[in-house]
Amino acid sequence: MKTFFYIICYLFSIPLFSQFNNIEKTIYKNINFSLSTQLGEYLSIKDHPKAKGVNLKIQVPVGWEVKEGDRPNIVKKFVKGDNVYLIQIFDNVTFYSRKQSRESIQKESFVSDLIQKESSFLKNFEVLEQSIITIDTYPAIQYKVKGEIEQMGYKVPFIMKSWLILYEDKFIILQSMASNNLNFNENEQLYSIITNSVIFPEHYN
Amino acid sequence: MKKYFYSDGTNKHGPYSKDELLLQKITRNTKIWYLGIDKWTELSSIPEFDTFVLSIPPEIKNIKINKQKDVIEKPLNKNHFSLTVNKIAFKKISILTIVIFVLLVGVIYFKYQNKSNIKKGIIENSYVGDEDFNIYIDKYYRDLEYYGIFPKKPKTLIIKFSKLDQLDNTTHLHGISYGYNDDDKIEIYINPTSWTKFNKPMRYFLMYHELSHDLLNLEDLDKGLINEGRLMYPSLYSYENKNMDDFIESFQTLFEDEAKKRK
Repeated sequence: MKTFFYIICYLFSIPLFSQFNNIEKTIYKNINFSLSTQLGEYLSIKDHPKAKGVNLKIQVPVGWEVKEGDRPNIVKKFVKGDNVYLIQIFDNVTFYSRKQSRESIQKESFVSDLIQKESSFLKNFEVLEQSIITIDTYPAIQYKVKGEIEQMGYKVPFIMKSWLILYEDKFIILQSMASNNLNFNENEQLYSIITNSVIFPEHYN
Repeated sequence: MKKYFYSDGTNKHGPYSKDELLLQKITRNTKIWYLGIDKWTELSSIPEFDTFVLSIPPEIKNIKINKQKDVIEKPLNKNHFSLTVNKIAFKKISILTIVIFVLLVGVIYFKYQNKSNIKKGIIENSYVGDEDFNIYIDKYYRDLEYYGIFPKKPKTLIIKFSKLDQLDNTTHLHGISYGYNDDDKIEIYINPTSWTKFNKPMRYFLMYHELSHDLLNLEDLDKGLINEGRLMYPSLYSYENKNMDDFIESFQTLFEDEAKKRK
């Protein structure tokens, strides 16, 4: 009798869990949809004096301010309050084809060196996650690090998520950051969607 | 004492003693008669005058006659015949060689004149456009250095546009370089029509191709399909669908090979 009862419970629970699962998926989809609607017009960095010849288009989130970068390698930045999304372009030592780029970013030492170099401004930094993804057919490293920045003797906690693309003979680093976890967590998915909007138009010529 | 007579062909002279006879205007062929012989006989045929005959230089007229005789006689002699044939063949070959040489010199001169006229036209039509070709040169040197190749940096650097498609005797030239085998010069002219049409990979293919002529002194490859896709392949028409990855792998293969050669 007990066994029968368990079986009945189990059979009833399947559609129930399934329903929960569907609800979760729907919520996720709605979040994605609602986030993607937060993206506005495409911004092109073609012929920008700091773009080093890279032609890249990216969608700017609605309500965010587009600013010029102060430092030499920061082409543009999107700013909203405490949240910043940077487009940075650096020269590489030579050209990398996509095949070579994928081979390189699969090497642990290559990736850890890059992350360390790019996060060197943070103190006590810790890599929270790291993975290989594709951004508009180009292989890229996605990584999240946290650490501290010292300002006027104060230690400010810092968290950032970056995407590093070996594009021809350039490094493109898309970097999102906020000075507190709460702000960062609120916008983390938006950062990913901004990155996902990247297009290299020359690739389609 | 013997008395001799000689004939000059019309008159008879004599009698003379032997010594007197030898003082006369006689030749090897002068006909002599003396008592004791039946008919007029050539001096050279009389044994007692042998020593004297040897002392007389042969007559010039006689040599001609003899030569003519030789020519007539030669065909009868196998060795003479082959020598004559060889001489004739040699003459013919010599004439033919000279003709070919003259023609060759003419063709080379014509081509040189033509090339020099083309170059003159290219330079006259050249101009500095908006494109900054130095970007390509800097990247080319950077990539060479990455592969351990350090060519001499030339003193003369000319990279300009020139309307190559408006020249006579040229077909579909996208670019042309004049610094081949001259380490002191980079001289490249780019067809602006091609440059406008070309996408980014094709521009890189063209610039690295021309720079490889001038800086690495590399020649064009054969137009065979086996070479299609390589940097020194001379025709860029089939490269329209190539992307930057194709260009990157193409120049890297060339630089790797070149670096190995130079070690």
